Amino acid sequence: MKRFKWIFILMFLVAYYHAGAQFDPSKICRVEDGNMSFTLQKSWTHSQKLEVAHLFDLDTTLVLNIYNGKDEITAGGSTWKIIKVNSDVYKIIKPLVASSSPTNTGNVIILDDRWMNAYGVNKRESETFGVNRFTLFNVFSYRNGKATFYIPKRQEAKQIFLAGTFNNWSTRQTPMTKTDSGWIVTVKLSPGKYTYKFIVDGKWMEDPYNKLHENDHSSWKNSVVFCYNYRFFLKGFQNSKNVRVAGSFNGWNTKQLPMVRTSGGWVLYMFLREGTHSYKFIVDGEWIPDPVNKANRQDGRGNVNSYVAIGDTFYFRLKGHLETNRVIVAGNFNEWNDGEMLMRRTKTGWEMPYVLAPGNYEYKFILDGTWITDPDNPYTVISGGVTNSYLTIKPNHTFILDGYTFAKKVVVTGNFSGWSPENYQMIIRDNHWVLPIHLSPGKYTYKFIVDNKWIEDPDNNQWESNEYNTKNSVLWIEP
Amino acid sequence: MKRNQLLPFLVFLTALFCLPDVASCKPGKDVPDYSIIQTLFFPGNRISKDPVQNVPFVVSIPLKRVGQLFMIEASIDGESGNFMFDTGSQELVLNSIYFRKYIAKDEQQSGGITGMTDKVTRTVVRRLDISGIVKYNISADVMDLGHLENRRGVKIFGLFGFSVFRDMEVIIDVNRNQLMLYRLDKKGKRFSLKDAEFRCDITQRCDLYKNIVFLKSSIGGKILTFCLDTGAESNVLSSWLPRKIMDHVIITRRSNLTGMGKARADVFYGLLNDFRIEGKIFSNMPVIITSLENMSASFDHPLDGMLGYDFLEKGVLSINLVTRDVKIAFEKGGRP
Repeated sequence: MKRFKWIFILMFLVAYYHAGAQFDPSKICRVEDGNMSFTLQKSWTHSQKLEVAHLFDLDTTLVLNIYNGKDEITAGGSTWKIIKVNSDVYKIIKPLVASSSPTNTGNVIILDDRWMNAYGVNKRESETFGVNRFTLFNVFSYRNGKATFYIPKRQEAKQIFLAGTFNNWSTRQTPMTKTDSGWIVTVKLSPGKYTYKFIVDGKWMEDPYNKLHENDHSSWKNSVVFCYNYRFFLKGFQNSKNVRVAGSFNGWNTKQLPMVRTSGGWVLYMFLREGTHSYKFIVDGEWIPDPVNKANRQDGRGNVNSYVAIGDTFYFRLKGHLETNRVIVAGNFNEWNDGEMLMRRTKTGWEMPYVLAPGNYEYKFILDGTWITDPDNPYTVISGGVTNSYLTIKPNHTFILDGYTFAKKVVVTGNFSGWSPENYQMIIRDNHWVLPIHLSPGKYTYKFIVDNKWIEDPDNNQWESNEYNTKNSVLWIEP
Repeated sequence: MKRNQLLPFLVFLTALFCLPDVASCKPGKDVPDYSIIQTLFFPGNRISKDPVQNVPFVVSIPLKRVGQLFMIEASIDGESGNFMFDTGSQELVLNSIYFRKYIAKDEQQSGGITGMTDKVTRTVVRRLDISGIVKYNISADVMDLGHLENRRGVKIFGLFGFSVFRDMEVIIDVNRNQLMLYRLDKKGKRFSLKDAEFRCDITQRCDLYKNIVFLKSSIGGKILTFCLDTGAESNVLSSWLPRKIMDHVIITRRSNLTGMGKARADVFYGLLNDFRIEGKIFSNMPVIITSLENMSASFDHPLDGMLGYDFLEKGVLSINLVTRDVKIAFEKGGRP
């Protein structure tokens, strides 16, 4: 009997091992003759069953509960036929549902986004800083908001266009001009990062004189250029061998940004994203703060760093409340830190200068521990049931709804706010409801909610139908 | 004519007859060389022009890649924008978001893989300009393409396929994001003999029906009909194919796809083996499996599958829309 027991245990182990070895997702699903079928095994582990459910978008109750002898099971709104192949293997079958009506035009097949993300579709990047790497000094220049691109020679070419993120990759909008020595074009650009390519006689070409590029797709590269907005300068130190700059913007990388020796000192031009950055110079290995920059602060670890603020300074102001001991401004720009931004007392109230990048922000004042909205700012947003003051820096669009002056409350909602029914409240000005906003380039769909009634923008003839068979107004923000 | 005068004439005649036949195919050659082009300038593209008719002989169009789809910049009655190059489309389609003002000729329902039921309006476009190829008074469907814009984040004015290139040879090179168009004579030969012939590895006379190119190929030895579709981010196989064919497909997961409607349909993603076209074999080719009944019905043509991006990236395709010859030059080592 003891021998049988061991044989039994051995058989069980072999069977268990065998069952585990048969877990091969590529052999689970079949589609043929209009039916889909899945071959599932009772002996799979719980996590293997869940993995199958995830891979094939099956209801988990289906994968876990088909082994109880029933002929069919309803799960996820579908009825499946169950076939018991043996004590361990079960097959579930369901006919594929064919679509209902014929098409008279072509069909565009778009893969699901999970798959496309592998190719970098919809990828958004926002570098904090950037330095160009051109191999010829005269192929790119940027002055007074104008960028000049130049391609030497190419005299045999008949037409060259410049296409990039700045013109929505238009293949026809930005022609280059032929000169005796090459091709040239000047475009108005704000400081920032741009990707681009040339189109030479209808064929795409990377900038051959630009070492900076990034992959757009697995085999496709675009040239990258930065339009500068800042110059680091260190006067003197003429006898030093090398000077570099490092800061919060590059993770304090000590080797990344060498400065260039000039007759008066060391210089480095670069693009720095809007916001506040700390930095130091490294002169022959020795760290020093910027000697001419008075904006120095302790970093809490005994070091003194220099600070640079890029962008427009916004003044938070609160009138009155002079009897208050302490007023702090907090918002989503500083993660609602209730101790950081202490406002300065003035003759008439309180103020706090702060550099903010273009965007939409929420904030509140804290008066001796009491949170209040800005009494002089009519714009408010409601986030999670809490009303905050709303501030937009460099708005690039204003939602306007004419009329409806009788309405008590008008909200603009759309894909920019996750279709929140209360987030962005409009205010009435000169017989129309308005809300200025900063939106990144791209497509936006939106609606107005007038006293809880959803309406499309009556003054916008660009709309698309939605899943509720109503209309969403369409807005494109160009780069 | 003296003998020394006759000699250059004979040399000229010999050279003329030795010029390559533009429609010929030399199997086994490398990528096609179409770099020799008569070079009369035309905005935006490298072009050669018919000096008599003032119509371009050759047009080179840069394709804008969005995901695995391709956009062409064109203008409709003076308004410029992106049009999806979709060879699975029978006619020009305009996006109703931007072309709602166009006068409707009639209305009908439309459907697709995903069973959409949008209203489609027929209209007439006075002038379509695709890099110098100008078409007048062409009919177009107007329908809501907002869902395509939303999925890929790009403004789409409309889409077109072979219907606007009827008298041309179309060379599709997705790896270089490049489209070449050659004007053809009535016999399907390029007007300009200076243009190098398209050297290919395989050739097949396709079935051209309602501006859709249908090709014969086989899976597991069974002959099947595929349409060539640049508007498909993947190859597609009908879910109604029998077991013998499906034995060559490994299904790895369920997926989602969007047809021209807004609805999304459950589909399957897999890898296709033993796919053959004119003797050339492909393995592990990505494929989507779904119902193609409605597409087949709309095409009014049998359809077992679609050859999309995963096939197009294998090489360069030349489609002569007059002779219906489809030639393919495969890229050595895949993508360049």
